[in-house]
Amino acid sequence: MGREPIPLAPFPTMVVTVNIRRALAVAAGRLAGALSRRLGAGGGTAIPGLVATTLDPDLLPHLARQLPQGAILVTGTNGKTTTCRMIAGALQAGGFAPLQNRTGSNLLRGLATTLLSHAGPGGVLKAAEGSLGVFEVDEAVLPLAIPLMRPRTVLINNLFRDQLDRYGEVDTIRSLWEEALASLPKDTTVVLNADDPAVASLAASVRGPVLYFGIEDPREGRQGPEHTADFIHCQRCGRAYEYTTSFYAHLGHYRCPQCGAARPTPQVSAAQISFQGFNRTGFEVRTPQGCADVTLNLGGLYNIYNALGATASALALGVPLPEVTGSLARFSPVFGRMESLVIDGRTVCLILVKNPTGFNQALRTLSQSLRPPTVLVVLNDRIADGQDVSWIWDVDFEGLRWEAVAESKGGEANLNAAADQSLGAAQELLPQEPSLQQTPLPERPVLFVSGLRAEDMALRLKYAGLNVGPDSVVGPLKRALDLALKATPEGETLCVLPTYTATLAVQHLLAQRGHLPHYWEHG
Amino acid sequence: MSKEKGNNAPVTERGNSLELNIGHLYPAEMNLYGDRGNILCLVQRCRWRGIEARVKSIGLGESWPQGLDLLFFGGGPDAQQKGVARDLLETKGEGLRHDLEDGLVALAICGGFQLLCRYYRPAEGPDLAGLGFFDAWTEHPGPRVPRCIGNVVVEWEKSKLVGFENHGGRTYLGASCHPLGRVRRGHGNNGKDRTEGAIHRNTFASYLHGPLLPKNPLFADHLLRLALERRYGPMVLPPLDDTLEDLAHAAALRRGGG
Repeated sequence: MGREPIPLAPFPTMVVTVNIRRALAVAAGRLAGALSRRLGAGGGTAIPGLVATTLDPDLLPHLARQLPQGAILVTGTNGKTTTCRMIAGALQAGGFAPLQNRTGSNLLRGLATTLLSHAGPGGVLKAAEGSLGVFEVDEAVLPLAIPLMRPRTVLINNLFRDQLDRYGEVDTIRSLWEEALASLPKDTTVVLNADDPAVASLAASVRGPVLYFGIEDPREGRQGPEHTADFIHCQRCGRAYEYTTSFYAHLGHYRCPQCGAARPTPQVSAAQISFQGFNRTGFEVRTPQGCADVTLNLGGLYNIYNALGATASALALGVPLPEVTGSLARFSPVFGRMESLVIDGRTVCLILVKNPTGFNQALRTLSQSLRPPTVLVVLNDRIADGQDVSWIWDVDFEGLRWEAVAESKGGEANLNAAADQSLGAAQELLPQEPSLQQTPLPERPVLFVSGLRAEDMALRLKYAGLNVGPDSVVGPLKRALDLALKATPEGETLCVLPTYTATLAVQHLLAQRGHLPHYWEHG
Repeated sequence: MSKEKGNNAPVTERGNSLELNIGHLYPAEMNLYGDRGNILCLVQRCRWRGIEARVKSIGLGESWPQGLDLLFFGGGPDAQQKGVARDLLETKGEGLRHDLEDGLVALAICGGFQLLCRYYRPAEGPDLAGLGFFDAWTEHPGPRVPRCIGNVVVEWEKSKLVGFENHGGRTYLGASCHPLGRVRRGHGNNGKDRTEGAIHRNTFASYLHGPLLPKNPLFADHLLRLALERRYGPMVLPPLDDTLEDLAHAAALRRGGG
């Protein structure tokens, strides 16, 4: 009697191969991370993911699918890191277990690295029941991340000119986003900034629910957009928008006089804004769940947008409003995003600057500090900074001048940081002649510039009419930081404004000196 | 800076102080890569010499103004270029062409350069007509061909110009059009023939951002002198302290590998 052939499982070898490949990928990725840390090459925030996904291209979607509560993707030119931290804080308060990629590691390899660190040997995600991925995603990477991650929420905060040597032009990014959002399923919520016409108008390509956030406090507005505004023409018909109020860049309350396309009314908004010093802000948040007062340990209008985007996203994910506002009040700044620490009795504050709008906002925020700080700008031109340093000429340094104000104000000073520029009025972009009524503080602001393109920065400040000379140019960061600290009297503030790779360098330096934990040890 | 101001300020034969009217074409639309730094540079270098510089914005829909001594036309995103091209030909073409032919000193960068040429052929769609002042034309080789991006070093007269280029279109000069300089590092007009920019009459065109003038003070003063001499006759510009300018120039050479 012949034996019946034993039925084989379909393609058993292939299943085995895939599993072995996946297991290998996971192991190799982890090994690469450990080696990278051992060799001091950094925290391994991207290498494990890069190695693992090269060996197993399907690893990222495989891991992402296992997230019990799905994922939210956050993008935009500015504010990704801070917004993600705010969302994670709110989710935690709401009983979720947020899982985040590390600061700035926002390419696909960064997302893979994060998931990999929670994966078992065979590529099984070991995540708590409430785990929800909160991922910041590079602007150009969003279209790639969406099909792989299948997010339940996508937040887009803003779009400004940034790293044009890498992206070409800002319109390219907007077109990429438009296509990416159109590919989302109907049950994905999209959270958009109503005040940014380039972002709000993306709603037209979204099939699912859209939630808008925006600022409703006209006192913070100015007339007409700044000269760095990128999207001043109607996204639908091309006519110039009319603004009833303009917050910064092209953000504001706009309307097209030709086709009527206008800023949508935001469901989540901020009103009654009050800045208390340069790193504390109060405002009222208005939501479909009611209103609440919020205090942020951060300055700057841009951080209000970050907080609003986070609030809208957290509410959409089901976190109750009191938990959201409570978490915002407890929020502590992200490294390089207004983080401050005390060194030898001097407050050192670090604000990442990477594009004209962010830099203008940093200057405007500094203007809210009570006393003039020493300023150290660190300009690098590595790939991650943008190799083209032309952009610093789009920043309004012209107003960066401390003026002693009346004695009756107790010797306080205020900085007119660049804010009152109006579009097209070319004379106004020039530095004002010092007037006789002003009594400039003799040695302030003390300015230092450092980095690979320190000389370019010095030149920019010179043409803004500021007091810089060859002595202000200190290429080596270590020496620049020492000099700047030395020039800062005890009890005063040193404000360091570095570009992206320079931020990492400053962070590394401060970590070496024991003032900060290494960046990959941050939460 | 105040120590420089007013010292040795050039004056006319009658002892009057000098002034310069600078036009800025489409500052709202053509302002992408920090090109406004060129305006800041021209104005400050006048001011530091006691020359009064006034800047006039020339926007969409406005007619061509009279009495300009110097014109600046910067680069902008492709999306804006179409509207600007139409406006340029419809509302300003005649006056602009007349003044440029007459010897108005002008600097055009990137998109501004392209619009002063004969035409711009985009990757898709019909040609965009330019002013045709330069015997030159631009063709976009399509989205699959990489843009010309990076640091540039150009040989100009007996010195070097430094800057940064970022353009998709490739510009070719006709037989009657002279380049501004010869590319030492980077792509220049088209990445093939080592030409960079163009000169015709007193109009200078270049692909260099950076912005061009602050880091190349010799070139900036060359434009200022031409503009002042056209109005007031031969003169010597009082020198300025260019220590920082020279440092930035050297840094750009170092980073650009030139």
